[in-house]
Amino acid sequence: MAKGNIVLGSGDLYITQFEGAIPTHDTLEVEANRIGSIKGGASLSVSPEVYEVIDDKGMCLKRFITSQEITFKSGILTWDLETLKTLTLGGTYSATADLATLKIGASGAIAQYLVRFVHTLDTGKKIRVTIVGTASNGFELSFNPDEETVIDAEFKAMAHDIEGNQVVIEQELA
Amino acid sequence: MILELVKTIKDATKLNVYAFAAPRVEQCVVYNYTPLSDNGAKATARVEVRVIAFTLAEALEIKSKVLNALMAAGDGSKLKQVTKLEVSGGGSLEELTSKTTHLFFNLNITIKSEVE
Repeated sequence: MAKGNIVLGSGDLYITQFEGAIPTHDTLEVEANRIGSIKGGASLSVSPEVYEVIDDKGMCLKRFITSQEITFKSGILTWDLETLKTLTLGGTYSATADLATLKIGASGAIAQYLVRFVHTLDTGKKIRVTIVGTASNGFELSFNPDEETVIDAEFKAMAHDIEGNQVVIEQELA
Repeated sequence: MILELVKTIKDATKLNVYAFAAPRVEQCVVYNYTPLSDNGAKATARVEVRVIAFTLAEALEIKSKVLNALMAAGDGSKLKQVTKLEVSGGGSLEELTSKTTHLFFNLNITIKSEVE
C-alpha cells in the first residue's frame, strides 16, 4: 500500500482575529469562527525566493532562502458583513439589532487574522492548515442573476512566531 | 456509499426506496445507480432518482426532502463520503394506469475511489 493518503474534497474554514498566539483546536474550531460554506475548495501556495551563489564556472555552490511568500485562497459562498470585514484592509464594521454596516476606504490599521482550514480525511483524521495573515487581494462583490455570489478570499501570511514561521500544517496521526 | 445514500433518502422521506422499479403502486422513491468513472483516486457516478407520488405537489415535496437531506450549499454534501453532489436534468410524467405522478432528477456525485 502506498505511503500517505489520497486527499479529495474540501473542508471547513475558520477565521478569527489574531490575538498574539494560536489558540487550541477546541477554542479556534468553533461555530462562531466558521465561515458558513465555501465553494471551490481552498488552496495554499508557498513560493520561496531563492538566492544562488554561483561561481565563475557556473556551478551553484549554495542556495539561500531570502523570503517566502505564502498565500491562502478560498471561495466564500455564505457570508455577511462581518465576514467581509475580514477581507478588507482597515474597514470598520458596526452593528445594531436592526442594521449591520461595513465602511471601507478610510486608512487605518490592518487587522491580522488567524485563518485555519480543516480537511477531514475519510479515516476521520484531520489535516489543518493555519496561517496568520491579512487580506491581500481585497474582494469583488458581484450580484449576478445567473450565478451565486462567491467571494474570492486571499490571505497573505506573515510570521507569527519568533522563528519566522508563516504557516503550520498539521496532520492527525492517531 | 450507495447504501448510505439510500438510507439517508429513506430517513428523510419515510418512504420505501427501491432500486430499478417499484414493486407496487405506492408513494416511493426509485433509483438507478450508474458508475461513470474511476481513476483509482476519484470516482464519479450518476444516481437517477424517480419520485413516485399521487400528485405533482407531493412529488415536489418529496424531492425537496431528498435534496435537503443530501445537498449542502458550497463544497461537499451532507453525506460524509460524497465530496461533491449536484443535481442535473430531470422531468416529470403522469402514469395513467396507476394514476401516479413521476418526478425524475439525476444526482451527479463524486466520491473517493474504493481502490486501495
